[in-house]
Amino acid sequence: MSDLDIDQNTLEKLITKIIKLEKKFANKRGMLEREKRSEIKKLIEQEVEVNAD
Amino acid sequence: MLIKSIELKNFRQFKGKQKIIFSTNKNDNITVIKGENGAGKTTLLEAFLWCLYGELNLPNKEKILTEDIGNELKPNDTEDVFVEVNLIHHNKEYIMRRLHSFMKLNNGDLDRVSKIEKVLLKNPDGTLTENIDKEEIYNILPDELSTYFFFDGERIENLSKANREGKKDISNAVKNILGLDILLDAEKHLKKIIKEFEDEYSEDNQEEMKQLKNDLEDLRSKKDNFKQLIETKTEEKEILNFKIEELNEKIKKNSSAQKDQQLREKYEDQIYNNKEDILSLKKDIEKNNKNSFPEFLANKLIDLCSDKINLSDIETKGILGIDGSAIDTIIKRGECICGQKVVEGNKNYKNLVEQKEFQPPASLGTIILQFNSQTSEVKKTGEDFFEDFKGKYISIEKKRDSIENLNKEINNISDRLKSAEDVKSLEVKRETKKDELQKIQNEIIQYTSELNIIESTIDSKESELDKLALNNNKNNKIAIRKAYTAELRKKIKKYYEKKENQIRQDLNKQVGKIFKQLIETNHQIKINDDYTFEVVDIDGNTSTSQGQNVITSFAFIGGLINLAKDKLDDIEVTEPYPLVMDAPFSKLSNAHRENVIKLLPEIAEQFILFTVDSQFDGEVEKTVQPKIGQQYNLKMHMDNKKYTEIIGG
Amino acid sequence: MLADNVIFYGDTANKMRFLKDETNLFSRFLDVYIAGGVVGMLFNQKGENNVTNNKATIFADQISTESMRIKYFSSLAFIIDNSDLSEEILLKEAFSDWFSENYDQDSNNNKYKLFQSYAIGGIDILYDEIVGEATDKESYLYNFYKFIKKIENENIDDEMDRAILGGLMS
Repeated sequence: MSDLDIDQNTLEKLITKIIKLEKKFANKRGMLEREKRSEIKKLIEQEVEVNAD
Repeated sequence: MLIKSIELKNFRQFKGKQKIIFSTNKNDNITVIKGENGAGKTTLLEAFLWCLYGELNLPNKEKILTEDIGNELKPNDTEDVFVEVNLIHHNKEYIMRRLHSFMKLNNGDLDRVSKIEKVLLKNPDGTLTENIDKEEIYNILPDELSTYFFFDGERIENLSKANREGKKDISNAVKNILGLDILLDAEKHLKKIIKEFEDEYSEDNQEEMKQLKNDLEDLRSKKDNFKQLIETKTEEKEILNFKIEELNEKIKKNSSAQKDQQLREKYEDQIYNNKEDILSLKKDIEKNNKNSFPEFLANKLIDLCSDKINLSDIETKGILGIDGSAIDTIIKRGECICGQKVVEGNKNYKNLVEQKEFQPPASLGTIILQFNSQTSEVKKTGEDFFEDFKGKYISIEKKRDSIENLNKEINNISDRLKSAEDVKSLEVKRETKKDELQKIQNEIIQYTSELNIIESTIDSKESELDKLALNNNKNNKIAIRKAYTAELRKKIKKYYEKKENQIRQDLNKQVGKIFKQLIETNHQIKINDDYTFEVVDIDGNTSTSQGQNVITSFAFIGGLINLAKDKLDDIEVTEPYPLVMDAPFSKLSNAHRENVIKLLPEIAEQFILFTVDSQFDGEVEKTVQPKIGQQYNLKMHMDNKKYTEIIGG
Repeated sequence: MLADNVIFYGDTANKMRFLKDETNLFSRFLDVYIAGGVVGMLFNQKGENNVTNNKATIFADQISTESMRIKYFSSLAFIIDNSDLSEEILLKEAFSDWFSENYDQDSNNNKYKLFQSYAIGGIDILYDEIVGEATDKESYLYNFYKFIKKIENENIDDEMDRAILGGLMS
């Protein structure tokens, strides 16, 4: 999909936030994979929403 | 960290209270524990891990209380099981104690009634500080790294051969030491999220999208199937290879067959190389076709084309690179590129206006120029195509002939070997296995190519889906998010691989260094990206030998320990660490043994060696003797029930 | 027109797929397409693209990686195919989009549609020549060698040569 321009700044911000999230998850023993995924997905929707406008 | 002592009470086959004190002395830092197989060496190791981490990796793991003791208990009687480990770390002595109490029930069963785990610190004045945080033990020796200080015989064997288990061992070590599991988790999550976004695409009335999604579902599960198949077959292949190796060794041992076997192996290598060459030539052909096949064909048409229009005539009138609008700009500016003035009515102006007639879109002369120059490019590109292809094709044929001849030779040798009385049955077995191997290899190739086709179909269908999705605004947003997710995953993967490579290279260096110091001859160890390795001599020829296998293991063990230590190390103090392993000395030559003994201090600061009685006398004992600080015997008793007594100290 | 996807259907799509996946001679559909187009031109073999469910798609972003080549070959195809047009119109149509993007779109289509129809014919020829009755990769390679050897030894001096060759090939 070459017509989609990926903003490097947004990407970098997202990566940092996601890794931080994963670190948090690692300490939460009982958390389901489903829950982890949904949090990450929400984060992506939040961050990318801002730029898509 | 050094292990000072381990005390057991009623732990599995260790009846009553028994203690081993390990040598922590710098010079004679070896503790030898002799015992037959089954005497309890594995249990001893497990006792250590149970005490530290509460885990037990033995059959019937609930039954930790010694059977004898348990049987003799009367209803409502209780008895304890404990293991206490004394460690020295950063000059402080830690005592880790784990105790479970069991009570005999009326129905004869044993019930665990309490469990205690305690960490104590022994103060310089002899008093004990209680309630030290359990975390401290994890900081001294984390669970996942403990395995790099304990090596049993089987693991040592696997490491020396870099077989499936050995490779897994090392790749897990790299992963653990890397400690970037978080990134792996993120990548895994992102992969699933991509699919979730895809599922969100609203289909509206698009039947096509629905169909594509279904197709993708099918294809993805097919892909997983094939991946699984390929993995299974690869495992089978490895097992077969191993069996064939064994048979080869057996056949080799027979002196009359030895030369033939060596020749056969040489031919097999040559066949392999030829096959690799053919593959690479075929790839070249494919690339060449991509770049010059159409040009080769077009060449034949060029004459036909020049028949139709006389292009050279028009060519001379246009100037490459300048179009009508450029000329307009110059006229407006009033000055040409060369610096001369351009004013309406003057000579330059008139020239420019005239020239404009020949620039596009006013005139095609310029275009013809372009066309002609591209035509010469086409000519050049296409000219060499045929000779190139021919050369490669002939090479391929020659190599195929070679392979056929070599196969014929190999068959002759195999026939000869078959008729030799003493290796007859071995040969037959070997040939059967080779046929099986060939069949599996073909299956793997077939599955791999089908997998590739499926993967590329998945890619193109995903693209199609994305494109269809864009027809709708809501989907647009989703597509963007999906694209970001894919990019995130890509970046994370790239980073992880970069770091993994760094650690692998470190490991390579460490292993190579230790190997060099241990080996008597000029051999070097060459480790590949997938953790397979070769030991090569000065001429680059591969070699293997029993003693060498042990050296290789040591080199890997040493390398792994160094990696683990690196991870644990404090910046200020270089902390010593122990190595607990099955002693492999009997398989080493004298010279190698001496080198190993000399090198031991560099690998670990404390050695706890398990040995089966018969292995450890005579020559071996002499070399190792000076460094033994403590010695124990695990004596098996076979009275009522089996139990082990620790003798010595 | 170079900005659109190029889609082939039915039998042609099947042959493209086979040539790409099974012969180890072509890496992408795009490569089969371009080669097919020039083969069709060489032997004057065109074909029709009848829309069916079975299709092979070459996406626009892949096309753009070879746009110069496709433009060149399509122009060449147009020149060769339209001997009856006057020189001026011939040149205008053949090269209309070489420098300006916003030229008359409709007449532009002609040369690309032409190249596509040559491709359909050419892919038929490629399939017959390379695959034919053979079933293994070694034979495909050998057949390819024979095919290009035949072409190497030919010289097309005029329209008649091409017509005859085309007849011999089909």
